[in-house]
Amino acid sequence: MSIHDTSTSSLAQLRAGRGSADKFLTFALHDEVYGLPILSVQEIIRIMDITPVPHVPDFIRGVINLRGKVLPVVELRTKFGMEKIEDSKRTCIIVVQIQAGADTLTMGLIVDEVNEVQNIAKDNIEPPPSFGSSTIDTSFILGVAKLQKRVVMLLDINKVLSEQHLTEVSEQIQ
Amino acid sequence: MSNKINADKLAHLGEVVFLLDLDDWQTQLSMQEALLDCKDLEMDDLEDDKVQIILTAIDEGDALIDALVEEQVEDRQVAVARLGQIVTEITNIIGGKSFTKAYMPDGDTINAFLAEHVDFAAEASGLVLQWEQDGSETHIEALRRLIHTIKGEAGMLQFDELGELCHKIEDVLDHSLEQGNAGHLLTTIDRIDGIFLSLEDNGAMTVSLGAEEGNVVESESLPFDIPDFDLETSPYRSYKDAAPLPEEADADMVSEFLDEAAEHLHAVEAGLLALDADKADNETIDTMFRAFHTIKGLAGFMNLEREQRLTHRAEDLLDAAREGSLVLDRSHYGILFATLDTFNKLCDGLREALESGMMPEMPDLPELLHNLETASGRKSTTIHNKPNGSVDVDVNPMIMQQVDGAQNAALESEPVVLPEDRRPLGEVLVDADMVPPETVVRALRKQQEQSEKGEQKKLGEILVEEGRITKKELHTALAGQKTGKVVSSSTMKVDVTHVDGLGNAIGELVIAQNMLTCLSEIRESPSRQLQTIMSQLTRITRTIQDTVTSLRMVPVRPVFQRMNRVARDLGVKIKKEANFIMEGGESEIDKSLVDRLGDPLVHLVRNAIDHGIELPADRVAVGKQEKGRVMLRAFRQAGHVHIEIQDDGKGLDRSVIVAKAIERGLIQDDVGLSDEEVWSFIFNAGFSTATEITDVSGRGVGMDVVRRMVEDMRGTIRVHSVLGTGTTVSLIFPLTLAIIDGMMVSVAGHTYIIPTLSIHTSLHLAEQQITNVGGGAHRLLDWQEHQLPLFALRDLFDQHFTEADANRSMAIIVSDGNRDIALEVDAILGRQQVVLKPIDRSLPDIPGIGGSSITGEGHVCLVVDIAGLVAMTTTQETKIA
Repeated sequence: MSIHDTSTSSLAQLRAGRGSADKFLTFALHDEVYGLPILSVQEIIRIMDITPVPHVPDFIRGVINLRGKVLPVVELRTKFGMEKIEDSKRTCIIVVQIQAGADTLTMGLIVDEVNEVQNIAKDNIEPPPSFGSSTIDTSFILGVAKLQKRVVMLLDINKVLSEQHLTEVSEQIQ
Repeated sequence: MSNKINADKLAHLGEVVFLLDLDDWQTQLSMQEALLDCKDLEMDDLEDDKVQIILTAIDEGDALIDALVEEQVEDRQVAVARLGQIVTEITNIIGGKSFTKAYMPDGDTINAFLAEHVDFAAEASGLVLQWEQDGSETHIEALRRLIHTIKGEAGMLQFDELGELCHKIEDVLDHSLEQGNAGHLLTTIDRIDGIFLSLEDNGAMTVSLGAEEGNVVESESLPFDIPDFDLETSPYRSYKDAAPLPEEADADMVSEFLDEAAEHLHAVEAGLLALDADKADNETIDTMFRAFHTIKGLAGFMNLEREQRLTHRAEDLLDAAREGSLVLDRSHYGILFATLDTFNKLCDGLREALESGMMPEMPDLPELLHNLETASGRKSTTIHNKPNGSVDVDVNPMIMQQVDGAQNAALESEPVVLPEDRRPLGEVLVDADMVPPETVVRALRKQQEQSEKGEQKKLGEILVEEGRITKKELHTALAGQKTGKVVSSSTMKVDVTHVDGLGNAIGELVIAQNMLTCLSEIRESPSRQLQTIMSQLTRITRTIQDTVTSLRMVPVRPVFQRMNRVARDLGVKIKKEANFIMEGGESEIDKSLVDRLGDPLVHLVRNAIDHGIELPADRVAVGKQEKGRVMLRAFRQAGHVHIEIQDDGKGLDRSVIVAKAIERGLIQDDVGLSDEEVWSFIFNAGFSTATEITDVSGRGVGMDVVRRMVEDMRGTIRVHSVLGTGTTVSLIFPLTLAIIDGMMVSVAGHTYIIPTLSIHTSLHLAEQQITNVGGGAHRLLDWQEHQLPLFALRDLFDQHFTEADANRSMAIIVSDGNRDIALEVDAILGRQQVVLKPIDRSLPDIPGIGGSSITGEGHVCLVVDIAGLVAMTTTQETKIA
């Protein structure tokens, strides 16, 4: 299979990996299916009381107490510009670890529903689509995989919550 | 500096040869590299024939390593041995230096050494400064001891340069001490501190450091020579003999001895009284015997000969009674009582000597000793030669210890008792993995045999003779014995990470315990037992919490001493003389606070001297003493630590500051502003009264640093100043930084915590107290004749989404130490001790939020940062004013 030239080095790493398939945690957001590399996922918890924090961007819903640690949680819907919905019984927080420089930060992501852990063969992963000069930012998409007639957007979590976005957080405050 | 390069490279070679396994191919490769490096050295300062020898040797070594690596040698052993020889040859020619480097003390040893002297610079310069002020010999004496200790340890660790520096200071202290030398002494102390720092960074001192130090010192023309670290004249000299240090019975040890002896004497007295009342049994005599025995051991250890002799005779008497060879009667009691009294007198004398430094007249002993001797019926052998007693050498460690103890005693010419707080040499050696236990046992057996033949030998000697350990190892172990002694005393060194870990765990414990008490099942349970257990748990948790908090407490003295130095240097520079007085240096504050206190204090001290204290002539003109006075004070009050810096200078001028504040647009006039509010302007960034700017300190930047730091550590600043008489700046910090007392308030359905430290009071909001300003955009609250700006916390925190119950709302008057504001909240929920939790770093600093805490129910509450909040509101407030 011919490999498209891609600037996403993570994808290149992904393809260069030893195994022929990688594990992804898939979850639903606004009827779309997304996937996160399982290695960046620390745990999944039910939605819990979230304490709002003043002066932060609206995609940060607040902070939670995860066994004595205080972590911020990101409303992924808001982050992706989707409409807000009420939390349901299926709403979950995926706790991820992201790399920001030398630091490893821990954050929660609020998603509509967690589906399953899927093995996705490298060969099934396509590079991220380009929408030309449209307004849709695809920089945080690692690749796209097609599974049983469903398209799964694989996220590069470090880019979703990249340092740039975090500084944006502080800029907004000032 | 070709020597320097040589030394570095050679040190590297030396390390390779002496520390690593030569028969390992990786070692060989790095050695080859090192050899070839040597080839590139400048060899100008060597004669041609020597250069030739070196080059030949390098080539041979190079070839040899190639062969070794490619496994083309007939006899590896021989080849490896030859390789070692080659390196030795080369290093011998260039200079013996690298061999002294070959022994590298391990990291732990260095760390222990550094930890021991972490306060050296502060302490030493403190002593010099005190001496400079009062010329008292005692300070110099203390300094000499300090330097001597470091010299000894440096010698043992082979930090030659450090040793030389100390040695030179000692020389100066001994021979050419003049008041004018203080500056030079201080410079040298700084240099030593520099060496410590570089040790901390590198783990080992580089030769280059020493060489450069030497040059710098010389160029500043010290009144004494700092040795030139020339490699040809290997600076490896007699001062090494100073290690290990001679045993000195220092004051602390003596006073410990006295305390302990007093305890045992009480036991003896009780026993004697029982004897006298015919209520005694064998157990009583045994107890008394043991008490004397212990005192004797301690006294021997401290080289207190009189005390030792006396107790020894008393012990003999009791021993005879114990064995049954003597029946005690009243005459014996009399002698024992007399012994007791005499001993008490001796102790009193010692105590007096400790306090006054003078040995008072001591009671006469010979008669008493004679009496004791006659009574016991033993023409006692002299103490020093008392046989060691027969001990079966066994692998049993206890017995090993006894034998070893006996050996130790022989070594120090002390009585047979094992000083309780000295670890046996054998144990130290085994612990350090220097020798296997069997070897020690064998050596001890040998020692035993020899001593039966009348030969007294030290365990260490035997081991060295047998080639089990080197002399160097013996010295290290002997030092270890002493360290062991120190460790087993009242303090021990603990890695700060352990303490932090414990602190975190206790934080969790407090939360869990809070959660438990909040559980309705428990609160409403009718079981009395459960309630009792719960209150017990609460109490225990609080005790643990307090203890852990106290673990982090260290005296503030080192920082203060640094300030003393700052004050002196600045005073000299700008020609303002000031007496620097420190008080409460022993006050203990949180270590993290001590670590960060330095910077703000430097600014405050500089300010006090530069802006506060007037020039000597001006002072005399206004009737003040020529020398100014700067006082640094620390004390605790009601759960807070106060750090005060007070000067008797000209004080702050209200009109100047007000004018400047108006000029900067901070205020329009000073109507209704209290002095303290006016003083608080000096902490504004960039606020500087133009007339006062100097190159040393321009008020504004420095004070801003002070304010920021103090706020960071959740402290407050108070300024008190009287024009013409002086200024006092107080920094007030909470005692602990991890757990705070907080007021829980409810705002728009969420709970926030306001540190009680920042709260003046709280009151119900009544309409008539509020004045609307600017068409209702701002509100002022009338409080104690003051119009305070009133802000709703919900507005400050952008929480508009729940309707407020206006009738129930409360106002909390808070202060950041300078400025008071009123905060409107929906309700006050109560007060609680809360554990501060930082919010994960993924969120940036949020203005007005100082951290978070987890409630009893497990929810996260945000902790309000009052200083940040006040800063947020400042701009709005100014508009109103």
